[in-house]
Amino acid sequence: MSRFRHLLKDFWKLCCSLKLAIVLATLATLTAFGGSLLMPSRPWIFANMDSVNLGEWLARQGRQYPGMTWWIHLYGALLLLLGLNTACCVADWLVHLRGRWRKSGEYLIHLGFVLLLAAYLWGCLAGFRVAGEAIAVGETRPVPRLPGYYLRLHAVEPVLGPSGRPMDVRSSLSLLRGETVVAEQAVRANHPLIWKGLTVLGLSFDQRNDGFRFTGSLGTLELRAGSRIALPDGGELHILDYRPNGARRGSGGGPFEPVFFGEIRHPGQPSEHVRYALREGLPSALTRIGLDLRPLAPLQQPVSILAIHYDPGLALAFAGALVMTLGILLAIGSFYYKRSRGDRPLL
Amino acid sequence: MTEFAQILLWGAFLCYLLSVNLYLLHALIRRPLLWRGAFALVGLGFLLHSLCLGLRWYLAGYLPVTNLFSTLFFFSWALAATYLYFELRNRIHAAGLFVMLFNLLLLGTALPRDSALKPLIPALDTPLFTLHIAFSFLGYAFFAMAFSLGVLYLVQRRLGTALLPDLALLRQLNEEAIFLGFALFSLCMLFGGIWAQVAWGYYFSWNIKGLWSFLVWLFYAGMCHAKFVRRWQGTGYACLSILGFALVLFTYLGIGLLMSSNHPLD
Ligand code: HEM
Repeated sequence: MSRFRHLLKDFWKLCCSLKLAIVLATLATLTAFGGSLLMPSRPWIFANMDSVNLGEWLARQGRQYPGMTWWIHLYGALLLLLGLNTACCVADWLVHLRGRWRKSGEYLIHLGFVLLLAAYLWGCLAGFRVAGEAIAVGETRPVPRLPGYYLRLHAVEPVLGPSGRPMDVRSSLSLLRGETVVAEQAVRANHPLIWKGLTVLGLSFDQRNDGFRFTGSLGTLELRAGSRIALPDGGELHILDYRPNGARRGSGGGPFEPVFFGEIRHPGQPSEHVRYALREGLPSALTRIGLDLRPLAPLQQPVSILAIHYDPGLALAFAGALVMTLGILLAIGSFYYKRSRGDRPLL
Repeated sequence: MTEFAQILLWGAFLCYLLSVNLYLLHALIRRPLLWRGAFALVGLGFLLHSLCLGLRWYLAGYLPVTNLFSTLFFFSWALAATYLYFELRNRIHAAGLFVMLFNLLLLGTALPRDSALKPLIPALDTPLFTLHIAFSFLGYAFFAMAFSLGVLYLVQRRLGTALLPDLALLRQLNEEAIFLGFALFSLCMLFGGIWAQVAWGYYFSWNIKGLWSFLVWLFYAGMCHAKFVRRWQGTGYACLSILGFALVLFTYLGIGLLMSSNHPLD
């Protein structure tokens, strides 16, 4: 029993060993220094490392280029061991807090590091990043890979610089959980929408052709998916869908062109589906009832292009950063206190 | 840059240049008046340097540390401040020669470069950027100080001259510079991480600059511990300080100038 206790004690000593920490930090540093030298000359492997989180990146690129990425696994393993080493060190401090409270600053730095590392690992395993999500003004779209959450765009506008050039984009966004708005933000550079682990950033803005303006016997009309117009014979035309590139001119090789898909409804009668490719002219079902629609111009809807990142460890990382900052301030304070008393911690 | 700011800049440079010469003379003929004069000139140079920095900050509307000129300029200012701090606390006298020589090199490299103040792009328009950069160069300045003290330690061990502080003091100051530099650089990393989160949506970037900055931080964290290991005390620590600063220089200049990163210089 006492032999076992001795072994256990030795093992705990090793876990809390400062020399082990130096060895692990040195090995991790050397591994990453060496490995990072591969990065600049192989952009096809490493250039987009930040576009997904590390877990996904390793699963994809790591599997495809094992010879070039093994060092990241090793580096991660060494940091993990360093994190465990540091956690043991903090635990040992907590056990002996009564005698070592003067070292609180130093140990808060250690605790902060452990929290940050744990948060990063959590984010790598359970987070995700998607970029290039386009959302039009007035549209509500589900947040990819996060069921039950939706984004609604209220407005998007460029922010112009002094020379009149667009410098930034401001997108007014709401985040909804089901029907309830849980966060709102005018998203622009350095002002993302952050809610729990979700960060929504504006990347750019664009225009999306979502309908057409017409003139004719009913005056000027704007038709897009969801529009309804009363027909001269008492019926109603519902626009079900609009595809700016839904029809192809000629047989096969011609350019793509806009097309509407609709439904003509008359009370008490079965509805009739119509397809209206603008170049081909109004379908006979509509000309028959005397409708005259002449296309004028496409309708352009402003669109915001977003990046959506989810990191469940974000709050933990922030807590780690806070603890570390507090630790640094305390450690600096105690450093000057010790100097003013003339006691220099020589070991 | 306004003419007045240009005059302040050249004034600071001249003061540093003269002070280096006086330190050099002091090393040769050892007159207290000489190091006093040298020290006074560093003080005056720092005052002009600070006024110039303040004026540029006021004119730009933001702390101008966005290109190679302004970062070298700020690095040099932080190094002069760090040197004054150590000199005032510990009277290291002739040890100032090496630091101020390096400082002169930094400011001298900045002088011929474009000093124009450009409008700030929205991505950099946040106090997090200012804090990130200010703490990074304050940290670098302490690492530069540690490098100088490390070199002086090795020189003193060889020469044993009365001109330099004794080995025990040099070792203590080196350890202090590393600890304070690490503390400041940690704040730089923390503010940088928060900024990256709001700017790009993640707090750690696998960009080469981000990776190397973290490694520099890890290296100095290791150094904060190495001083507790007998074998690494003194000479070993001086060598580590020199190696550490080589990593700092590569991370700051090498990556910014030689490789494409999200931290380009100019
Ligand atoms: C990357 C992770 C770590 C960081 C950033 C870190 C940082 C620090 C800092 C800044 C100090 C203060 C040094 C000074 O007083 O000048 C320190 C001291 C110390 N660290 Fe760490 N450390 C880390 C990991 C570890 C680990 C893994 C251990 C334990 C095995 C450890 C054990 C200690 C001890 C015992 C001290 C001395 C406290 C004292 O008595 O003054 N550290 N550390």
